Amino acid sequence: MKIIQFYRNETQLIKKAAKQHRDAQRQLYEKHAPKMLSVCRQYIRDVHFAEEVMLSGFLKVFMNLHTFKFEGSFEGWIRRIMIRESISFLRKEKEVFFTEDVQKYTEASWDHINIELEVEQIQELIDSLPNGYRMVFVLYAIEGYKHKEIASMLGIAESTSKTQLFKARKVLQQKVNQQNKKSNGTIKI
Amino acid sequence: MAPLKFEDSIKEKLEQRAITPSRDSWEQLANQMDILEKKKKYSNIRWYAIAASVMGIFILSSVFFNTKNTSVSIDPQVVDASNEELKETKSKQLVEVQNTKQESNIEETVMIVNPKSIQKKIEVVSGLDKDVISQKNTEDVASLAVKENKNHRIVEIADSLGSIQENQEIQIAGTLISDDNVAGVVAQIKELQKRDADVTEDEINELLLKAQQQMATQEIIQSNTVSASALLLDVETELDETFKNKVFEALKSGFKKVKTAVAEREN
Repeated sequence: MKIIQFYRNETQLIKKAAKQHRDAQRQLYEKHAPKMLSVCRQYIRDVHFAEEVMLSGFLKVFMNLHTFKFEGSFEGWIRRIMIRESISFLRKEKEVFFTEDVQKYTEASWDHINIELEVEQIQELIDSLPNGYRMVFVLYAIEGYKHKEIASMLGIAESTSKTQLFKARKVLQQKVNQQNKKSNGTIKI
Repeated sequence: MAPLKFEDSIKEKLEQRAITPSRDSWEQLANQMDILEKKKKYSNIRWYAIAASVMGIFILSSVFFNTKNTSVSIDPQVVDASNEELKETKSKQLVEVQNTKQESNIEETVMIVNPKSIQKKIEVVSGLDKDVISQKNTEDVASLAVKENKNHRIVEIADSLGSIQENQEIQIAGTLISDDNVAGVVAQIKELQKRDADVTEDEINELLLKAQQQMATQEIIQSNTVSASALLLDVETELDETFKNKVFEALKSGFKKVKTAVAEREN
C-alpha cells in the first residue's frame, strides 16, 4: 500500500511541478538532487562545478517537465539530462580530447583484485583519467550505454569510443595494480 | 571477466552514492526559475503586441482603402440665387425633376417654376463641366433645361418668389420624363393658375407624381418581355456593386427608382 501511495504521490508531485508549483518542485529537487549530484560528480572533478551543472540540469528538468510522458522512470529521465549537461560543460571548458587513432586492443589483464575499494578511492581512480577516457568509461561501464550511443552523444566514431574505453581500462588497471601492490606490501588487519 | 566484475562493483558502489548539495542550492535554482519565467512572460507579451499591431495596421489599411473606393465623388456647387424680392408669399414652389434616360446615362433637368413675376435662375451644374443656364422669366413658367450628361448632377434651384437668401443643393434622382410629359405638366400648372391665383405646393407635387407614374407605366408597357436570366443577372450585379455604383444605378435607372427632390424654401 505504501509503495502504491508513494507512486501516486510522485505522479501527482510531477504534475504539480509541471504547473510550476514551487513546493512540488522543491520536493522533487530534495528527493533527487543528492543522486544527481553524484552523477555529475562522476564526470566533473570539482564538486562545486558539479553542483552548478546539477542546478542547470534541474532548471531544464522543471522547464521541460511538461514533456515527460510517464513512459519510463522519472529518475532515468532526469539522469539523462544530467549526463547531457555534464558533457556540455566539459565541452564548453574545452577539456575533452579524443584520440582518433584506431588500434586493435586486447582484453586488459587485470591482476587479481583482492582489495575492496571504497567509493572515494573509486572516484579518485576515475578522476585520474583524462576527460575523454573518463567520459567513455563512465558512459559505458557505469551508465551502460553502447558504443554506438556513446559515439552519437559525444560526436565521435564508434571505433574511437572503443579505443577510448580500452585506454581508460588500461590506465585504471595500472592504477589498481599499483594500489594492489601497495596494499599487499602492508598488512591489513 | 575480471574487468567486468571490477567494473560492476564500481557501478554498484557509485550508484549507491549520494552527495548532499549545498544549503542554498534550492534558492539559487528557484531564483533562476523566476527569472526565466519572467523572461518567457515578457517575450510572450511582446509577440502578442507585435501580432496585435500588425492586425491593427491591416484592419486600418483595409478600412481606409475601402472608404476611399466607396466614397461618391460628388462635387457640389453652390449657386447664388437671384435677388429678386417676392411680392407673393404663398406661392413659391420650385419643382425640379431630373430626368434620366434609361438606355444611356443622360440626365435631364426639368424645372418648373411657379410663374408670375418671377425671376428664375436656373443653374444646372454638372459634376465635371459646369454649365450654367440661367433664365429669366418674368411671366411663365416652365423652364426646361435639358442637358445630357453622363455624370451625376446637382441642381440647385433658387426660389425667386421669396426673398431668396439661401442656396440650396439638390440632388436629383432621375426619372424618365419626356418632353411631352413636361409640356403636359406645365400646361396643367397653367390651368391651375388660371383657376386659382395661387398654386399650392401640394398640387404641384401631385401633378409631378402623376406624371412620373405615367412615365413609369409607359416604359413598362413599352418594354419587351422580361427575361429571367436578365433579372437574375440584375440581382447578382446589384449585390456585387459597390455603394458608389449602386448610387449611380439608382439615379440612372428609370424603372427601378423614382426619386423626387423638392426644394422648399422658406420665406
